[in-house]
Amino acid sequence: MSNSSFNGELIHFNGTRMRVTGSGFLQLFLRSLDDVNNIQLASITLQNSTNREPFVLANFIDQNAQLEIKTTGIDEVFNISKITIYVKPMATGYPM
Amino acid sequence: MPGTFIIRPTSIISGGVPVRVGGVAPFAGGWESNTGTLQSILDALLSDVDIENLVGSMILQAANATFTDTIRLSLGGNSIYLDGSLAPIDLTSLPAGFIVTAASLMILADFIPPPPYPPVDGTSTFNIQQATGNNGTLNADTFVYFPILGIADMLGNGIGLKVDLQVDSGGTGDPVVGIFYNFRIEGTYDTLPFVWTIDTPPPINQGDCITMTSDPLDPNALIFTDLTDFTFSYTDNDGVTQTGVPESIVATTNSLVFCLPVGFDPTADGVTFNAILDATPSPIPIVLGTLAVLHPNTSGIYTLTLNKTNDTLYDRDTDDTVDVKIPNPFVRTGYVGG
Repeated sequence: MSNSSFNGELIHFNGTRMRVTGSGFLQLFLRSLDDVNNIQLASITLQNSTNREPFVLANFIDQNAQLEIKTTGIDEVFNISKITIYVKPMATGYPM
Repeated sequence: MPGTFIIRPTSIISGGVPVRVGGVAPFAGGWESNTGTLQSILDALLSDVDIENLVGSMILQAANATFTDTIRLSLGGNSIYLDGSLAPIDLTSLPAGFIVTAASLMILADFIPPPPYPPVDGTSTFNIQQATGNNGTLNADTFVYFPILGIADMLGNGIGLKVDLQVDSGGTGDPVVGIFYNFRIEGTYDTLPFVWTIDTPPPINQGDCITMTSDPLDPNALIFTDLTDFTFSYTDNDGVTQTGVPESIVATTNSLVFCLPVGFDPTADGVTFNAILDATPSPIPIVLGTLAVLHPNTSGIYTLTLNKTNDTLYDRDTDDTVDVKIPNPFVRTGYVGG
């Protein structure tokens, strides 16, 4: 669990941007605690060199989420040096 | 579509000794397969006709002597004959939705001398076995499978023939002989009308996850939440049917995801997935399907190599190496939120 300024608020995870190079297709997932809720984001086509940091939209609401990044093909590799996750609190919590 | 099947043994796992092939001279006790052309015990038990030169038999000719033995037989490999076909198939070639509706283990048994039985100078008894230690009724040539097992369970259990011969004190001559042949499982099968698809394309690897779905708009769609007791089965390199339990099973109404463990060693025949359908009046074991395996019978030693982007396995069948994907490498961030 991260040590953040959030305290049970429902958060809208609306995108991620990353500095990534490699080859193949990078698959992105947002997963809640215990993977109860999850979504798959659009894949990123990897390049060995690029001047762009791709932004991938998301639409996921939960109290917590982690970003999973993986490849599933042979000889696919990725090298990530920076990840930014864009979030915005949208509710103080679930109804009591 | 209903039909019939016969399963015949494919190899001897244990027992069957001492054995004498051919010859007519008395011997103290043991198995004898025919008196003429050379035939093995397995051939004798596979024969569906009782001719003198092709029998599985025991001869005992000494007073106060006993001979007991159990022959355990494997049903792995091409052992299944569907609808009277003479060409056997294996577990992985069965049609999807295959279910056993009735099955019995059967053998043909004769005794020498002919009636009166039991022989006046001794006793000759036998049991047929659906699994190790699971004996049928003494001297019964039929043993009904009840409750009905799935085909993978029946194959994995194998079958057995247990004999117990005894000659009374003062017995003479050829008092105790049993002749056995045509040892098989006979039964009926059906294929379920339910419709589903395996979305994961073959070939698969150990550790892979398999996805199956059914069309929610199809009235015959298989409801995956009605399934329990998921297993997978395969034939190992000894020709024996092995069974395992998949991991990370997630079943919803119209989708099923499960993962294979690592560390089992299937042959090129592939892996078959089985489950129990919670049906009325009784649960039904069904075959969900079979997928080919990418690289059967492989082994590996991990060596960390800079910039290497795949795993390399040693193929024990061909002595070559094969490159396979690293199983889905991933990273996860910490949780955002609180």
